[in-house]
Amino acid sequence: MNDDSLSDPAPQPYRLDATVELKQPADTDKGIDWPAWIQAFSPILLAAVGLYFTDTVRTGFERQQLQLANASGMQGLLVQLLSADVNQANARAAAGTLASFGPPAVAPLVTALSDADDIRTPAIEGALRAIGLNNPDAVCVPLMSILERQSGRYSWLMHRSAIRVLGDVRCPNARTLLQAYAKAITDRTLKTFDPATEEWAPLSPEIAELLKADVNRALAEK
Amino acid sequence: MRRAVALVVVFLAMRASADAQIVPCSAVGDQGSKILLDDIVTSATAQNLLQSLTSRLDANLTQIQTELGVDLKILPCANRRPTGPSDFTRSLVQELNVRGVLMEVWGATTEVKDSLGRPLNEASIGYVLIPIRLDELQSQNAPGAFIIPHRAQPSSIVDDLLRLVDQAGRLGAYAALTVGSKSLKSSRWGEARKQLCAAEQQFTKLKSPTAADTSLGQYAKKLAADAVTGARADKTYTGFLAQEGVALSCS
Repeated sequence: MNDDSLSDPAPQPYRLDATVELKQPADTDKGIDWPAWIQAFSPILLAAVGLYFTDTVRTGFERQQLQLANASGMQGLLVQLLSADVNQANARAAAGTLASFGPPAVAPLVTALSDADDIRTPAIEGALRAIGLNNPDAVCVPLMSILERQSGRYSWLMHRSAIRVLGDVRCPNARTLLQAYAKAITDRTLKTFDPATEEWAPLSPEIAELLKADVNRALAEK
Repeated sequence: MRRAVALVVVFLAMRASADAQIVPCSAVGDQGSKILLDDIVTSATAQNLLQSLTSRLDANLTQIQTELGVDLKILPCANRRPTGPSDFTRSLVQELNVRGVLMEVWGATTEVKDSLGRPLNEASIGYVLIPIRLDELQSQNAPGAFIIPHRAQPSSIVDDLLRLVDQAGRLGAYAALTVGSKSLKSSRWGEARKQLCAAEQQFTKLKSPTAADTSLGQYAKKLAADAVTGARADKTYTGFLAQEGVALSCS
């Protein structure tokens, strides 16, 4: 046995057995982890935005194509309707086919009405009635504006056609307008455009009678 | 595709009916009362007699205008060729009526041969009396549209046609009836009575009245009586027709 070894023993390392538990506070930040969400959903968002813009552009393009197709389709029919040798049957056929285009045909039909004659007027009125059955607003707005705006370059024959069509189509405010129009005829304050003189002239008694009869008929149908 | 088919159908319809139809006439838009003279063509000579006949009729109508005391124009409508009275539908007649058309005359002639082989002009002259046709379509009164057939020796086609269109004052009687009928509808009782009585008188003077003429003469008589009745009922009217002594009949 060595005494030195007993009196000066070599220092022994301390050994500690312990467990360290790191705990987070219970009320830590529970906010949305936006970056993570964006990262997760960005492909879907990108796809949705892309789809939206693609659809918008396609719809716009298709609308333009449709308008172009309508214009091309209507052009031939308008040429037929306005030709010098159109007869009753052809005028009816052309105007009826124009009516199948629906609301886009209203503007050219109303324009054609401005210088329509004994052959074309019944055909155009019939076409406007046909469109008005399904799309009253498309027909009511332009025809009512003819009667409302007495400063417009609309002849009494055009007024007459507007009254006759309005009488057959369900236009919400037509009754009030027609009553005001009838009063203007009675008061002799109504003036219409005379294409021959390029002036706005009061109605002759005969024409006033004709228009009044048409207004009364239209009001009776309302 | 459907539109292309529709266009083809419209085109075929145009082709099928392009020969003889009522086509637009710019004269319809002229202001005032008017008589339209449509194409009167002859297949025998393939000559369109519209202009020459129009000028002859124009002179003829000047006399009628003076007699009637009404401003009336006769206007040619080239290429307008009604096929018959049935072309004058209600919608068309209404449009003509509001545009001041009183009468429309049309016709066609062909050269034929009789049983002995002699050449003859066979002509059919059509008349539509617009205010009367309107009444006819509403209540089956006297005929407002009819065709008068005629055969004549081919001395001068224009002279023959003129005789056909204005046979012994027929045109004057028709004009007086239409003017009177229109005045009646406008409550111009005195004017209506004057014209309708003149029409009745002219119808009785016709040398060879057709069935339509007889019917129209009776209709003129009825309308002349209506003018008196209307005048008496109209409180604003102060003319001679309102007097008690005025008889319903013209004579």
